[in-house]
Amino acid sequence: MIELRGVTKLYRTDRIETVALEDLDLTIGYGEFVAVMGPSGCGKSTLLNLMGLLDEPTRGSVAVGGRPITFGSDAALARLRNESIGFVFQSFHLVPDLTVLDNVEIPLLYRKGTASERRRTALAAIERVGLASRAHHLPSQLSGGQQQRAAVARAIVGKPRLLLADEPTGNLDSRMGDEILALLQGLNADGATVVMVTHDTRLADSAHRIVRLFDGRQVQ
Amino acid sequence: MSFATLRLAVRVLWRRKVFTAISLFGVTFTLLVLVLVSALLDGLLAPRPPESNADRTLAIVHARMVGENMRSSGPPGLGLLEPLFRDLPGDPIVSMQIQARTEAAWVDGAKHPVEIMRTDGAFWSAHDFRFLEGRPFGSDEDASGAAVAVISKYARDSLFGGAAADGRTFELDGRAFRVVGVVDDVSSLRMRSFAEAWLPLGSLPGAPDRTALIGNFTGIVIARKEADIEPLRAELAARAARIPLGQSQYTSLEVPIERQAQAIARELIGADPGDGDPVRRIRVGVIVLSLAFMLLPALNLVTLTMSRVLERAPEIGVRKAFGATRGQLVAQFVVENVLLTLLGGLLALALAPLVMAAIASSLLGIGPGLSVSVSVLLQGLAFAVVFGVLSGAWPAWRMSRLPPIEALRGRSG
Repeated sequence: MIELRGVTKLYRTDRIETVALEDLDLTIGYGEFVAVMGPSGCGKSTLLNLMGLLDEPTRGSVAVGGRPITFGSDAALARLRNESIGFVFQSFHLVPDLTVLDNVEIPLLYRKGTASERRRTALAAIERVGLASRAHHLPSQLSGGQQQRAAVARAIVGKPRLLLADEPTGNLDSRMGDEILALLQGLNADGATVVMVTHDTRLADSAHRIVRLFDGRQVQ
Repeated sequence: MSFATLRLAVRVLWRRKVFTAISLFGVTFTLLVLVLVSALLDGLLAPRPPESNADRTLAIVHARMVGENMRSSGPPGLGLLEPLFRDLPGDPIVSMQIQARTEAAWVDGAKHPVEIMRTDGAFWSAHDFRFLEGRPFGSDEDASGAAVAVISKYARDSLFGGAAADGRTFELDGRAFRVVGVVDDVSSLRMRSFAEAWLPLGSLPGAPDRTALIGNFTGIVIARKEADIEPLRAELAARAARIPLGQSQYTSLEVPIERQAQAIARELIGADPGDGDPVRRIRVGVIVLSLAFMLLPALNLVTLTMSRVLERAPEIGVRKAFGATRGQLVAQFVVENVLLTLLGGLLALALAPLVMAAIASSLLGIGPGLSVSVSVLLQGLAFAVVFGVLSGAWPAWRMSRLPPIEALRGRSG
């Protein structure tokens, strides 16, 4: 599904160069459920961003579905992100001006379909995360857990083949965390590849495989 | 543009009330000025009562005689207009006037400055004045030099305190003129018909010089139908070319035979007859000036839009992450700006009649000629859209180029 070869990511300021990832080789197959673990600042989120084509590696290559990615083509990248990838961001990134329903509809705005189809699909995703009663609320009217669930609904609404989740249960109590985990496992069972960054060992244990990072390198 | 984009645009503008209010004020003020300029031009050039036939009117308002080392130019004289107008084919309406100028009229020993035009009986068929009292004077009264007058409502108020004026008299150059009709006020923008009192040409003291080629007259020829205009223009030009210059030292006579709007436009910009279509020059000039006038508020709106877009960098990141292309993001922000400027445009159009009414009461004469016609309305909305695109495109384009991860972190690049 996704293949990283010799990937290095450097962040440069005027005087400082920070190595976020160094010479990383990683292959994630179709239908895998992978947990990424490691201490803060080890490059977990950077790895997720590179896999999600949100960021460009300083060196090395990224391939999705066997196709090497050219980061120069805006339209091709946009299409790939829209059709194949879903994100759950650590800090949710819900658009504050939009209701939960409108937020969840975002991925559908950039593909074919009528407004009523979009609405129906978005409502089904919202229902799936147990947020139907809050569909017309603004993010500011939701608790952290509810915002997290809205972010999950937005990530799964387009039925992506690759779901990237950065601490998807970080703001939830254990019961809701389990529900979200069950949701991700359900999507995985339906054929989606799931890559989840987590600090929670219990959650990571439920994945097929754990990738451990330390100082930008894979250690296991 | 999808309904979702439009709905988001409305929400964004509503939630950022201070930004919206400040932007709207600037946009509305700018567009209001442009709408007023459009209305002014429309009032000058478009067919509008009493000059409803303006688009079928040929005007002869200028003549030039050229000789070796000398030239003479000015309004045409009777020696030019009478042979031009005699027995024209196609039965057009022909009329001659001396443009309005301020003269002193006396009523009961009190002096009143009045804009007075001298004209012939055909003048009243050429234009469609709305008579509030009485009737126009006829060609027979003009020919006999009768001391009669048609006055405007404003002149009636001024001379007779607003009371019925039909049959009453005022004194001009020591002669008593009897009012035979009262008409609605005419805007001073209607250059071929404006006055506050219209008197027969025949009532002028002394015999007119019927030989002068340059004088103080203007002439209009109103074709019965559009198709007659060009043949009439050709006939008038041919007649002008045959007019003898006599014993004078001049060797040629130039008489522009122009459509009324062209003649007015040329008078406005002081162009020579050979300088190309003056109406087009004015319209191009207005468009260029309007764009220049819009530039500063547009730059201001660009700055405001930029800060609004910067604030929403994470949203741009989210949209990119979920598949928005640069073009779709640019379209979204441009739609928001166009919505704002269209709102400003509609506000400007709603305020324009009030401002025009204020102008009417403070700058007497211009007022009745200003109104928001369909063409002014369309121009106003076009200005609004151009303004919106101008001020929204650059910030949107710049932000759409941000890498998604930078945008998600709220960085402006």
